[in-house]
Amino acid sequence: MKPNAKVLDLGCGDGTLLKYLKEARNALGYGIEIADANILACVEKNINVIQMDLEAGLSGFEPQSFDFVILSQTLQAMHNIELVVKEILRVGRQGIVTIPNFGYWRRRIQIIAGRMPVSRICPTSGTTRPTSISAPSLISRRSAATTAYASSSAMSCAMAGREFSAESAGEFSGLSLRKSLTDRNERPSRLPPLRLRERIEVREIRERERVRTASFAL
Amino acid sequence: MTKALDYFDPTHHHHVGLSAALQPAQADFLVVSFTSDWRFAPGRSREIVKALLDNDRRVSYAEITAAHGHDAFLMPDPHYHALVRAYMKG
Repeated sequence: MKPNAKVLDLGCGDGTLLKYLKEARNALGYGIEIADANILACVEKNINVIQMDLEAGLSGFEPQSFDFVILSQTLQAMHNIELVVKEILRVGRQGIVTIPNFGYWRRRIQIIAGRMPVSRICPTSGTTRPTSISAPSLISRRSAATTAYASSSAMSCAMAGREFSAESAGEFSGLSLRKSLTDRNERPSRLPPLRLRERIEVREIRERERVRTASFAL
Repeated sequence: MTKALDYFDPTHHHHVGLSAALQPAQADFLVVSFTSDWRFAPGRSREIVKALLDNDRRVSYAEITAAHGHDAFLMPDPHYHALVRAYMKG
């Protein structure tokens, strides 16, 4: 990230990342948060923070008004994933999305046990919604703007009509998004085919989720 | 008093948007609204925040969940007080 960049951190939590970016890169940073306690924590750190609900998008933010829009360890707690990814690309010249790597072996064991993965960095909290967006939503294919799934060693991600790069290390997966310069319209995503083991795993998790959903419906 | 509040228009002397009206501002801002306030509704505060963002001003915005309407700012709300205290310290 270049120095003095204007940065928007969606779901900024207690402002730790923005504080770092301010100190290390002299970034002009703003956080978006919904939880009262986190708003207070950011203000205590002298970090700009705006209280609003990301699920409703980023209305009020001008197109291309930020150098970077970051969504760090937040996507997995959201319902309206496609809207937020589209909004990242509308508001930011570049987007950075990191999610817990559910392909990491510790997280896999938790998924197999039928739980939303929990770790030190991503503890379960009141805002985590394990049943609605849990591993299956990230692992399975999504038809529209965003598609993300975990592979056995790393996470691959495809954005329809977007340039992206993705990498994964241990606990985390990260993707860097840019608006495609050649084609701004949505086109069908072209994904590398899932390997057989991954297909089986996705199906198993989907079935597990269906069972869980059914038991909730009862 | 009510009329003075109703007729107050920060863009009056500029006849341009709020962003342009706040362009000369140099201060850092803490904008606080209360969810049940109908007089200065949270939506109006969000407009101020947007205008400050357009000018790259440092701004924080908190929306305090409160049941006391416009007078909520007079009530001893611990979160609200903690926020203002933290901001003034910082």
